[in-house]
Amino acid sequence: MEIDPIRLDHLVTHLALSGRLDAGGLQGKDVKFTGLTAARRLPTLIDLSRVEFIGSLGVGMLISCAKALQRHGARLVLLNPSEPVQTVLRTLGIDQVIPIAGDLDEGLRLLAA
Amino acid sequence: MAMAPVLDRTLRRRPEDLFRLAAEVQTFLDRAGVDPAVRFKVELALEEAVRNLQLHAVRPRSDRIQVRVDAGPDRIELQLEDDGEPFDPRSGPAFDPARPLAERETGGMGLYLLRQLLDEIHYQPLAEGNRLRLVVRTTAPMAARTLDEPTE
Repeated sequence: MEIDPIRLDHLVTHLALSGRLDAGGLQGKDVKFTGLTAARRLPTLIDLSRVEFIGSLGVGMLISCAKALQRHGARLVLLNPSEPVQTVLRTLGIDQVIPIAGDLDEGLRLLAA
Repeated sequence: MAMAPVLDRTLRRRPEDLFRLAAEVQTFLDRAGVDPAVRFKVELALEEAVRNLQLHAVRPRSDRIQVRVDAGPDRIELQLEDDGEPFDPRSGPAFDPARPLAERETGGMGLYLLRQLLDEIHYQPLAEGNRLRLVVRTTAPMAARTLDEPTE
């Protein structure tokens, strides 16, 4: 998994993930991910469009992030996952607890909602 | 008639062995010309089933897990054998996808994904261990099934 920061200011966290969100891909990357997301305690947009694979470990990382942000009154929004990644998220009911946006404008609207 | 491609490996209950095998299976499925949606499900099956055996096997007699991937003409079959106490993953812990965010736990998601997304799950207790066969049909579209029913 690669983490690419896109916007890290005092209002919003926006980053893109790419590669594989599985046991091998997450190895040693979860601390950096938490530091760039939950630890900032700001509304957070994560672009998943370049994520090739996600397993339960990757979904767990997103749930932990969303829960930590929620405790500080901030929201996590996921952006533009591929069809198979979206199938995994919907199967686990993630779309019911973490909003999924189809584009950046919708993502920013959902962050402010 | 050409033989169907088969990958046979023995791995230890260590994370690095799964990392290596996952990469090998990706290459194997690529060479077998497997459709990307089918490939995604096979990779998901490998990740979740092997991690479950590595993390949760009860009193295994050895450190070994046998893995076989068989790329048939109309199905990909993943077979895993280990020597832990009997455990049928079709009756694994319940996972409720309707829980609110604050009540979400991360446990149970892997086996739930297998039960929902794979086409067949066959479990057989062995004299000393377990045999699990996970099947993805190559003609089936990738879509979440609505019923959580074991196939055997």
